[in-house]
Amino acid sequence: MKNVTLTLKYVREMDCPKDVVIWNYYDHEHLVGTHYKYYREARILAEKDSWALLYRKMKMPLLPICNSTLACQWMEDNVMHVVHRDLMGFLLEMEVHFEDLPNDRSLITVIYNIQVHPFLKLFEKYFQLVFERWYEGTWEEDAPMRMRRWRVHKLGFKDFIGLDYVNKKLPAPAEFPEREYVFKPPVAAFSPIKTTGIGRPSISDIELGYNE
Amino acid sequence: MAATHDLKEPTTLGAVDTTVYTYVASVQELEKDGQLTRWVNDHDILLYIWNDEIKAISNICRHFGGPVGYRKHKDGKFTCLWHNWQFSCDDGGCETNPGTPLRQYTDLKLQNGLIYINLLA
Repeated sequence: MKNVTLTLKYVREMDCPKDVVIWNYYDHEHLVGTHYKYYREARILAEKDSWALLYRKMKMPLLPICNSTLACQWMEDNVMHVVHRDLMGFLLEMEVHFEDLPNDRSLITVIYNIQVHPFLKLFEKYFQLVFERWYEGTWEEDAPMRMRRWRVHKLGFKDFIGLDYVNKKLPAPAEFPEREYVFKPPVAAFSPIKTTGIGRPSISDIELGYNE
Repeated sequence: MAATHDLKEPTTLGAVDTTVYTYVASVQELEKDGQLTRWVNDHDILLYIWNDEIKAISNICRHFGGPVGYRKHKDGKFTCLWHNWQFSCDDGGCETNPGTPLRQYTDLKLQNGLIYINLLA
């Protein structure tokens, strides 16, 4: 019997350029940091330019067990494609469309196409709920990360260096020169995510939150 | 948590020269969780109590700019939310990548329960 496809679509705006959001999607190390409540492990099995083959272990909302996926991710123009195959055999095709808007804003459209056995069509509402919670939960954690990344970029932040005026104990410049945010994958990795993979830290930590 | 009067004063009490020092937070706010973060004149400051002393370091992780003080420090270390880089509460030294310590703000003033910082020291 031929599989059926369940389609879910979410559209949101971000107060930062699209390249900051693309950076966030290609920063695989943040999965067990920013999203430590969801992701248990992450590993990059292969990576070149915008192509990445990934292993991820996660706990999705409303599902009683951890799931793991093999995912292939790549970019075509302003669309990121990710094809996931999970432990239970589901095939998930995900598209993320990135569009810049005026005033350093962007429009992000996420489309999930989940291929399932026709019998599982009966559980469409359940799948919808799982993915809705997954999307909402991870978006809420990613949004402040993207905003902060954009904020420090505008202040002159350089990866692995920081802010010059902070490091050198100088006054902050009166005006910061405009710097376009241009991202080309892959993201430089520091952890063993490309070899042994990385896990999340202890989850008993007390969160005090962002101050933005 | 140490009471306000037990805290070692960062510098001697006296009139605060506001051309040098900028207000960050009150001791009362800081004592609530023992640490807090605040943007002051484009510096993101992580203020915390460590060994009964008020200390301040940059809250901007030098890796990708993440928030070092998002979580309460544990076992003498801050762990940045984004990628779990760890920093010592003693001096902001980076334990994950030792070449990238956090900038320490060493000149703090406490007056009438208010904490001021010299951003250039």
